[in-house]
Amino acid sequence: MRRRRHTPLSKRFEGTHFSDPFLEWLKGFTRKKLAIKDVTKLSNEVLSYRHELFPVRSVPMPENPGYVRYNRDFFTVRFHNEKVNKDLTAFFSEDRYGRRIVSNEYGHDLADFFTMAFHGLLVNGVDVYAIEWDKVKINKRYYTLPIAFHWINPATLHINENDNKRYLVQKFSSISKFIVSYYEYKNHIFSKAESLIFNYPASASPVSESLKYLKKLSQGMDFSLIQGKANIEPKNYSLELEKARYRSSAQYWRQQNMTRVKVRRIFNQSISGFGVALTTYYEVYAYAEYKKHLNIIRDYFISQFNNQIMELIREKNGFATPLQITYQGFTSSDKIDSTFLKYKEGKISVDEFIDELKDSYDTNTF
Amino acid sequence: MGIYVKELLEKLKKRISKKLNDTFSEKDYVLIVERKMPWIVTKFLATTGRIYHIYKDREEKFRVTLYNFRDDFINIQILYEISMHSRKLLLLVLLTFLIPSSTYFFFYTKMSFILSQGSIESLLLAYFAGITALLGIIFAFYSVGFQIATSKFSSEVTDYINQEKVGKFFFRLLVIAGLFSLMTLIIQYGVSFPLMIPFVIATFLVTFSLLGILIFKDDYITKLKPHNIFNQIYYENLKAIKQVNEYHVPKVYSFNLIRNKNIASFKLHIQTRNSWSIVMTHQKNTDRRLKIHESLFRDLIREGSIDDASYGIRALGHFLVNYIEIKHFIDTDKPWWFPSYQELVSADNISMFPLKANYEAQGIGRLGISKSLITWLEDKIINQLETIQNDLELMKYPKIQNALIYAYETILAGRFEKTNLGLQKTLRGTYELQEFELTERVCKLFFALGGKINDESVKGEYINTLGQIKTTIADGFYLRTFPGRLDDWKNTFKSNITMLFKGEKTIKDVSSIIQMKLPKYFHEILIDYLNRMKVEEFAEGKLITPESWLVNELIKIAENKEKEMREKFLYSFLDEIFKLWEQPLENSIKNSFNLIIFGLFNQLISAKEWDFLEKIITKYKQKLFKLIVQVDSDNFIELELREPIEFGVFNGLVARNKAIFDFYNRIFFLTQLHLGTKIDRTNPTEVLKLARRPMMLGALAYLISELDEDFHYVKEVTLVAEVLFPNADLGTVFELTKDMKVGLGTSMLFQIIYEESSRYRPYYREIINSISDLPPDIITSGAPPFGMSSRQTVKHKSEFIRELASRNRFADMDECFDGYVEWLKKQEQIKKLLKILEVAKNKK
Repeated sequence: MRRRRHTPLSKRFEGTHFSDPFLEWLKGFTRKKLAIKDVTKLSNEVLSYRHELFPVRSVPMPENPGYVRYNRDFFTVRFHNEKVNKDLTAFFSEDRYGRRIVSNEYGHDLADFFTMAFHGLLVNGVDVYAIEWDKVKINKRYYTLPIAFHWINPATLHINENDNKRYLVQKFSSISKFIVSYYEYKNHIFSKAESLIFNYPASASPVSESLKYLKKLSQGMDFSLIQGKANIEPKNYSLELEKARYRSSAQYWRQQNMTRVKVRRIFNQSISGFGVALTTYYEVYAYAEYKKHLNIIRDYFISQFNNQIMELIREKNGFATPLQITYQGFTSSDKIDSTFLKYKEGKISVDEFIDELKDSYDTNTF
Repeated sequence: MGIYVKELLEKLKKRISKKLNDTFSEKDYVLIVERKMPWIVTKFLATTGRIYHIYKDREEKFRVTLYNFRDDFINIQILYEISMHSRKLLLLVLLTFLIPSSTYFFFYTKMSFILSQGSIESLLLAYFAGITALLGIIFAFYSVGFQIATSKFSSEVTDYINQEKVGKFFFRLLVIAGLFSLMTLIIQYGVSFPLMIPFVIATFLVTFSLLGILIFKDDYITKLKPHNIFNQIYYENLKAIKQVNEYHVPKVYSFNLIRNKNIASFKLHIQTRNSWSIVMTHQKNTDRRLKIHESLFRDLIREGSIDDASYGIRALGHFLVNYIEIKHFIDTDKPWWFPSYQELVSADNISMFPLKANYEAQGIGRLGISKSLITWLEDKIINQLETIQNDLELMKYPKIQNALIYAYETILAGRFEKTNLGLQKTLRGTYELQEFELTERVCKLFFALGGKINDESVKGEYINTLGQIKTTIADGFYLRTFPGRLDDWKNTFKSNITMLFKGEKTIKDVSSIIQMKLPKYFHEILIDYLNRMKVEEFAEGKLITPESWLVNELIKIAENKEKEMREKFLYSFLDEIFKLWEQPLENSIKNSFNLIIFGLFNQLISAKEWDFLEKIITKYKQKLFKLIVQVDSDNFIELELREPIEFGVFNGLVARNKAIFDFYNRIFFLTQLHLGTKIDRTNPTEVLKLARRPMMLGALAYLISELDEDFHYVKEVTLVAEVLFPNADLGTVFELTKDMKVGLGTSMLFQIIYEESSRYRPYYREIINSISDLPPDIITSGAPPFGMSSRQTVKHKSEFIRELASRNRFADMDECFDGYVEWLKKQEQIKKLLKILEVAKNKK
């Protein structure tokens, strides 16, 4: 079965992703969107980082030495029936690429889906999807499966939860309807069985927390520009230019680089190579935290997917025993902790530390 | 009408929706310098900017005014100097005046002392006339004297001398005294009452002017001497560098710093280093003074005053190390002290290429970027020294050669001075100050100088300086405050590090590190790591890196640097020594190289730098043997080379370093030959001591060989001894020397025991004491029915070691001699047996 992207089977799922400029501005989503627009702000922290959750790995091909195959088979469905296992693992894996688009409007497989959901969590702290279900024939057997996850613009969303009943209401603002003539806005209501919600497993999204540092993230560059202008316009006595004439740019660049480190720590990312010297211990510590944080996010996604989706698949297909999806191929947090302890005690060097923490796909990488 | 309204509404809707859309939607990024601001904000920023500009301008002018005022104010000190220098004279004048005058007051009790208006007029007239006459006479003499004295100097030197402060102040004082008297006199003529207060002031000024003649005379005569001109340049340069660095001009002037003697107390605190005009003026003046220094040197050489000229070379050395001591506290971000120059950007520079391409596309030349000339002052001084060194005419004078050696020694190794604590190092050299690039440059010059020295008396100085430099480099980062004391840097550095942090916070900043006045490398890594910790504090709100980890890391980094620098400089030092050795030099000089090299080895042995010493010995083995072999016996005895060789062989043996031991072992027996030729053969004690010397080494080697179950050491000693004494039965010889001791008188016996115990016993004790670390064991003897006895010993395969461990420890050395002799005898027996077998084999 083949579908065009952005074209749901049911009209009920149309237009959930439409932009609502007014609500986005009102609720602060526009600022967050702007914050990830360029590298002087947070684009690297979000756009590159999201791919590290389930990265594309290069696996050597034994049948063709010297060549590698790109692979993202991280997931396995666990069920007591091997045939169902095989069918559903294949459904959620990349093997289906070209024959069936499993997951969402942007990606082709579950890894892609989680990558995009991670993007949403990093920026907005919440990522919500409307699920479209359909009968799918796999290996001559019919299953009721989620054939598409439609992203819902979080600025337009209200989540109502009463007595274990949850439903989502998507309502676009009248102002946006007034100012944007391009979209045919339509409000939606989705039941619990039609919704998938992810929340960032911390108080606020990293982008929200980093908004206050945006100005400092470009202060070195800004100061250099002002200093340049002050040099070529000696008669311009504007306060900014005048102050720049009496100051050195080194301190501004240092502050900028320090802020970059701070922001990357908010994102729980590695911090080496940002123009500011750090102790090796701190770099190693941050690297360990980064690897552990990715594990936390992966665990979170898988547990939410199991609770919200796999449980529904079980119910809809009448399976009596639990149905679960698992992932593998990454160094566990316990191993990270014990390796860091070894480094702290001086038993291993930095290189050995990095080697020991290589994910299993890394060790096979060319 | 309806259509028109509808269209109007439609248009209005469009405009409103566009406006709203612009407000709510995402905006493109605009560069900070291209952002449009409302008119009112632009005007406000322009006004405040202008106020800020005026404020900064006034601030700078105020700083300069204050600085000049302080400089002028210090001239008042000359008045104090005048009164201090003439206090005895004043006392004498007062006494001679008071004693006769008091008799009048005593006998004529009703006598009153009143100065009338007329008498004040007469006195003021006398003051004015006297001062004017004095001014004229002194000025005439001064001009003539100055011209005669400075006729041998070039114009810039003369101008410099003319700027001296005391003379200027004195002439100013004379003029003020004269004018003040004249003005008072004029007013006195116009009023009908006596002007007592102005008269007293005029009297005071005239008195000081008269007394000032004494100071002026001394100062005038002294200041014109070349030594003092060099000194003045030196002190003015020193003052300049003290006003541009953060150590002497801290951000916050505190009592704590005064208490620690970091900064001078009761000094008007001006942030001179923050003032671009003050710093740049100091830079230009220092540069100018160094040129004057060079001109003065040339003038003196031209006039044949070699002694005076050589003083200038020495002064350069002193100034350079003083500068290096505080150079790293001068701000390098601002191009005030370090003049900037344009460095051309090359097309290979990828990051700069777009800028270069855009700039050069305008056709206005090649793009250059501003760089600071960080080494301008060192370059200047080094160039002056190099020019002198390369001048063949100048190098004819031994005094110039000596002065160059002195300057290089001061720069590289610092200088010891006599203090109330003894000989103390008051000036650290560039190596101790951890300015390694400069050390390398000066080392090259110094070694190049070695080949140019042609005067025998200077060669000794050169060798001494070589020894000083060797000692300083081999000490590494340890500081030798007194000749015989090394200050441990690790504990001090550790406390410096821990001082920066408390719990999970940093409690000090860069200024605190500056006030520690550390050498350059320590200073830089401490600031580097403090900055690293500041990043952690900023990013995490606390320190993540544990203090213990940080301390270990920094100590490790510093140790590696110490090792790297020591090895680098010592290798080049040894290369240069061997180069010099190959030159046609007197034997006494060549022999002295042995003393320097073995002194270096001793230092490395004391510092437990076994690996490095082994590398040196492996690399230079052949050259070292050649060096020692060419020493004749007289020189060998005179230089006391026996001592470092014994120190090396015994320590190498105790440390079980085979390469070092083998090297020293061969030289040790060579020593035996030299000692043998010079010994008094009629003195049995001397003969016996010499004969027993190889046994001391052999017995210790035997003890270690038995203990380690590795007979390399004892075999090596015996092998070399057999080569040197080919036909001797060593076992019998050593047994004789051992037994002969018993037959000597008490006095001789005591002498031998005392010397051997002092020289060799510590090595034996170290090894024997280590035996007790072995696991204990019991030796049993006897059998029933006569009874059994047992003694405690240690577990070891060697019978000798087990016996030694069970015996009374007092006779330990003798037991080793016995053991060694027994071992030698056994070896002899085996050799004889082998000979018999050989003979039998040949007969067959």
